[in-house]
Amino acid sequence: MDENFQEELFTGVIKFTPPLYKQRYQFIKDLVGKYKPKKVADLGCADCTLLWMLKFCSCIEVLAGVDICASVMKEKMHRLSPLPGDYLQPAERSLTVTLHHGSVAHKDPCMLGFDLVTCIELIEHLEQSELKKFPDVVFGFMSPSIVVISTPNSEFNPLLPGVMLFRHPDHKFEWNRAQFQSWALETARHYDYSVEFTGVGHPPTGMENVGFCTQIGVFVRKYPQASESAQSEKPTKAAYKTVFKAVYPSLKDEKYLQNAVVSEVIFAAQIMKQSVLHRVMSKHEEYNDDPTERKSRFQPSMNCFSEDLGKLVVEKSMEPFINGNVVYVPLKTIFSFPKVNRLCDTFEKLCKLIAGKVTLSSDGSAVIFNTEHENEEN
Amino acid sequence: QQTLPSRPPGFQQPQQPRVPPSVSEEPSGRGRQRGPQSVPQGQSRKRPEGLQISAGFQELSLADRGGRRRDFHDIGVNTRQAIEHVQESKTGSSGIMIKLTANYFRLMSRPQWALYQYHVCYNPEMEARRLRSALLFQHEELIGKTHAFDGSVLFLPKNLGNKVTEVFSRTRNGEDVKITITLTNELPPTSPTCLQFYNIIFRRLLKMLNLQQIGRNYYNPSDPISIPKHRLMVWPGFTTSILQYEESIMLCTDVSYKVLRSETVLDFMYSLYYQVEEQRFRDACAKELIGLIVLTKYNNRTYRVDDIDWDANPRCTFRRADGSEISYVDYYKRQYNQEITDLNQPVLISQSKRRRGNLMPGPVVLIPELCFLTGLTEKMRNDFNMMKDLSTHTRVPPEQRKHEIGRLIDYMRKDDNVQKELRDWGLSFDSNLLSFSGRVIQGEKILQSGNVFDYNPQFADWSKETRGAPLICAKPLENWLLIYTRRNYDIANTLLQNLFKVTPSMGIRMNKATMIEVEDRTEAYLRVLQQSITPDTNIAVCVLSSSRKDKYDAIKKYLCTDCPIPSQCVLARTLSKPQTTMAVATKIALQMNCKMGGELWSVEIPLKQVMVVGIDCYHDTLSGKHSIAGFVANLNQTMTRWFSRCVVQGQGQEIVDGLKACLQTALRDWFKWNKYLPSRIIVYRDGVGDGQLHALVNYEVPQFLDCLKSVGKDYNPRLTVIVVKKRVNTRFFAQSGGALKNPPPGTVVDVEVTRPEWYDFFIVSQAVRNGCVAPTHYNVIYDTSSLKPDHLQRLTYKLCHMYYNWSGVIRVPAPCQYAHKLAFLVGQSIHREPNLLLSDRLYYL
Repeated sequence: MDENFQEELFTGVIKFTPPLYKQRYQFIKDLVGKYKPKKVADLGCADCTLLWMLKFCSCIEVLAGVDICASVMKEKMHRLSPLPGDYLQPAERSLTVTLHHGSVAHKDPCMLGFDLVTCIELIEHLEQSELKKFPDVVFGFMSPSIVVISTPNSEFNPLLPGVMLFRHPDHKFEWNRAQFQSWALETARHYDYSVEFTGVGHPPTGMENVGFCTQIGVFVRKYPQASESAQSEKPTKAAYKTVFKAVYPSLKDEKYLQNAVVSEVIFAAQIMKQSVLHRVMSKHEEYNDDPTERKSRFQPSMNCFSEDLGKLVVEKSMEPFINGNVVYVPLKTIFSFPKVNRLCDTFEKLCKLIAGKVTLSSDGSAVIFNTEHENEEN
Repeated sequence: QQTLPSRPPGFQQPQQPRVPPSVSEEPSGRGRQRGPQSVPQGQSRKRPEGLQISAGFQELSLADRGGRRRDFHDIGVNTRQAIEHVQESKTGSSGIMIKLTANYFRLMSRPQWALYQYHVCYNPEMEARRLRSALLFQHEELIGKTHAFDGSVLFLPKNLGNKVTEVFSRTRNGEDVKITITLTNELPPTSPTCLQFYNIIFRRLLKMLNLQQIGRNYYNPSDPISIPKHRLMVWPGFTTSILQYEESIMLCTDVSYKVLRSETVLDFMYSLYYQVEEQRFRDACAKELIGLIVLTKYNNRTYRVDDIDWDANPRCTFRRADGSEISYVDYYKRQYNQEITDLNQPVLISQSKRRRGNLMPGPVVLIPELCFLTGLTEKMRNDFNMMKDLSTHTRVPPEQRKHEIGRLIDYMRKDDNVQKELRDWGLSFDSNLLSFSGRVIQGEKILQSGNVFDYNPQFADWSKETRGAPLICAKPLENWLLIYTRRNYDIANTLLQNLFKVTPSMGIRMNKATMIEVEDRTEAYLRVLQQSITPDTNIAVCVLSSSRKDKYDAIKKYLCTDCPIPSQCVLARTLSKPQTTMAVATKIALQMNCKMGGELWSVEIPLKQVMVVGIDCYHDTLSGKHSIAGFVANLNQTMTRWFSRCVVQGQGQEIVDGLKACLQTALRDWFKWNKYLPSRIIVYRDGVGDGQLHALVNYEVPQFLDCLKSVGKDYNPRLTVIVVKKRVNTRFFAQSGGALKNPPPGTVVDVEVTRPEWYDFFIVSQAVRNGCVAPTHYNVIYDTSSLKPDHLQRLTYKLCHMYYNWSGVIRVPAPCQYAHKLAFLVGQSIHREPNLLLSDRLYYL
């Protein structure tokens, strides 16, 4: 018996583990993992569950959802917003999530240029007239590299308890495998796509002939991506209404990159300053009761220790120094901190990003701290 | 608490599966209950009447922190009705009128506005809430687009016409369902249910504005203030609540700042590793991290860290809901695409008190690398430089604060969706802050040994005016110890010389101290104390070379319990600046005098035979989680001498039992001092958390009454119980000329922003140098004194002048601050009840 399927003999109720809808979403996630698309659209996104799952996929930079019903999208759309953590540690990649209210029977230029378009349990909800326009909109107009279409397999219906005609009252039709495949092959041929068939929800032992509970067609475009100019010839009149848009903080955005760099630079400089001050103080003082001063004597032995501190190699000329009340921490030293280094790539970029945000020495070579006003406790 | 007992990796508790946070998309906040919890637990669970909104409905409003949603605003606790003399009026009369504005906006609704409450039932019965919603909203043409539905209770802004409406829907299985919608209530704008409803709707609006909920408040993540020096990030935001106030329903909103840290718990552990010795590392982690609230990277949940499991690591497995085993690494990779890079890190344990979906409450495992720290640790709070950096951003002066508060209303006005939602419900907010008049009551003169001191009431501080003046009662320093390490010999001498300079004018007789040099070790200090203290020793002064807590704790513990004599610890650093040593020595002399039972100053208190009691609590989050209540009551008419005792709450004990014992001893000592019993007792009760008022009224007050009855048949004093609250969101601004300023000390507000069902008032007693002054809220929950509100307000203000550790007016009545000091010392350092021999002195100052 298939591992993701379980039949309860007593009641005759078929139960899928994990539930069928999750298996469908997992199928898409696996596909995303395989093809690494950058721009993904979900048509008929409903309560945005699939979009929510996809936002964690690090390859995706643009996510879009379309649904005919605005209220169902709005119900849970806020979970597509960035989390506090996304602001605290902006990701390397950029991500924009947009929700559009509209029909898959209409063309809107915002749907151009996608790599993957998914239509999970969508087509069976379309009226005859909409279904007729659908291939032209998706394959002709949007023309992404990959289209995934899933729909119920009506041959499986006798195994589902309580299903009289269709699985859902809103379904306008449910196809058997032959019907779906002939529609899909015809569509693929017409728009120059190849198609392969698969599905999720295995039939019970002995009933293998009915096929998957959900049938899936994966369409791959055979011609190379249309050039930008070719796309711009397409109609530009908007048909969809944007109901939600979230731009995730990203290091690609200068503002967040600058924040991150300034933050790391000051923190690194602070560490250097503390250590140089401690060094000076411990020279002067006989007793050492302050626990923070143990640092210097302490050898880290915990494995995979903070790389910023542990693996730091400081050349003589790069060492921070004190002049009067001012501590100088050379930028070159700070640049050698791995985190800073990773963020900036080049020293020039570092200098550019922190300009005006961090107090530097007159020649701009070091971060400076005035120690006069420190330690004014009580 | 060091480490958990070792267990094999992947250890499973059969009943309570330890799981990573459940996959839920709803953002929610939970965590440490900020408010103290000193009232009996069993009682506080009970919800006061008047709350009809179902639990499911409140879920719509998003979870509040602290597990079970509590009634944070103590709605439905109606205490004024039982206090006869304030039925007509609870307002005072004295003072000069002052024009004030407050951070409140009136909620306005259409005339004849009502909220229609319906009950919805299904035939056949439908279980899932989602399904129930879907079936009901197939009839949108009937119900309309504006609605709030929790699965059984439906709120609409309109009347459906009939008492009972029946409609039919069809499920996806083709099953026909009859839905019966029955009108159960037509709610006027002021009904308690309606208030809950407003708050739910308001939270919806805040979400529409793209504000992020963290805990109970909402924050704007798009424009954070970054303080890289301390790896802090501050999000500006708002705290909001809609309540029925004296005259109208209002939105109270204040700016709130959420301190987030841009480092993970793992980062923090690494940097801590550098700061402590290896063998202390685990202890240090536990000390710093347990009790903190962390925010998970992958969803918007907050958790309280209850423990660290050093025997577990991210490769350990747990059992998923479907029965399969999966490691944390794989789980987070698969579920959230979160890469865990450090496979040797320990895991954090959070004890979830709330049911989450179908998961029973139980321990939740968190990965340090995937958790951000939030808020400030005790250590950070004690970091002067850090707090200074932080306060430049968070201490906003009145004018700017008003501007920031107004931004919320601005955001709302500019957002079409918000405006539409409000319009659909028939609600709107006043665009101006609430304006009204308060009173500034007369400043107090400071009486000190025959002298009368005037001072500038604006600054609420008389340290300059009274410097060097003779004290009411000066205790001699005849036989005293001064203990120091060799390194601090000079400093000890400086202290001694300066004390000789400053004490004569105060009237303190002083002999040279017995100077004792010790090694800088805790045991050395203790040994010297044991050897040198005699029955005649007045006080022991220790000069400490660092702020290491263990030495301080050991000294205090010994001198408060086993060997009860007053003690004074001084940090060497405090005395190291020559330009301030005189001032420091003056302050130390005053403090030592109080500790030995001396008296500094007084104010005029016309009310006679009155015992004033202050109670405050300290909650020990680290060791054992027991609570400590400080209890302080005056011993004399002039309120210059105090009886102090504390309650260390043991396992399964209620704090109130201990408070009863305190009250009994206080009365006994009062009798010894005065030869009669007080005819009035006024209790200022601090340390009451949000939502605990009900328990206080129904449990603690009756216990006090019981206790008084037990004193004697004929003894029938008048009792007043006042709940003191410092953490309020109310802010007042005084209009002076064109600009807004802080209201002056002595400002009393007992109109508009008070609650009609309470006998309550606000007093601004202190002055602040920067930022906005926070008024203190006083809620008289029990009162048989028949004192006029004006008199009670003035007495309260007078008591704010009587705290001897500060030559100025403070935020709360002095006995509350004394009680706080005492509870803090016992909770932080002593951990058991101090010796009662000390109870007639302010030894804990």
